[in-house]
Amino acid sequence: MILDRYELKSATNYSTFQFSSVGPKGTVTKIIQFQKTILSNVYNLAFSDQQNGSNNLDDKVVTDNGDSEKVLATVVASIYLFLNHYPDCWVYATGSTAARTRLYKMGINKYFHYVEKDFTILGDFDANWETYQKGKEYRAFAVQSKTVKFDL
Amino acid sequence: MKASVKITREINPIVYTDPSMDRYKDVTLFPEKLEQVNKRLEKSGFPGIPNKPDVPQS
Repeated sequence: MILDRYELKSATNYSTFQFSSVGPKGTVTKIIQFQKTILSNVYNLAFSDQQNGSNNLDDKVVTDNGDSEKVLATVVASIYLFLNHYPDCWVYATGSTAARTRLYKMGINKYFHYVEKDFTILGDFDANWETYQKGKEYRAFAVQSKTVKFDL
Repeated sequence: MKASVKITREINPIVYTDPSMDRYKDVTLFPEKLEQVNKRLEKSGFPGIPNKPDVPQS
């Protein structure tokens, strides 16, 4: 089954992406940014709606545009693209709220059989990193590609 | 050693590059979130990566 996903528009360094969510609420621009953290080779995944090209973003907003699975698949696709260009890096992801973190966990579980062969997945459990286990409540996640380069 | 593999086609990204997106290269879009993440990483560290700040955040 081919996963339905949106077309991504990328910066030339593959660190920032935009795409358009289309649904009952209309067309909503989404932006994804992989941000350098204080630790070398660890990048934070940030993701939100973007209104009128503004840089003033709120990652707690809930769009409810009826396409959450397609949006999630698109975000996963952006992780593939980023790690394809930065294969030694880790992508760190945590929700802006506990509910959003649970949503990320559901996303990882949903696509686990697709991504586990491509990514090493870790979970932060009470400030300790461990290999990701389904069903466990993590406060953050991190993924790294198992490959030098994906053949996209 | 890592090997090159073909990505599963179910999730193969559909992408095009747009140089206009480069305006975000030096922009941190979610500074509060990044600050929160940095505090967590400072506390928890990360496997295989020295727990020292790499580059100060502006």
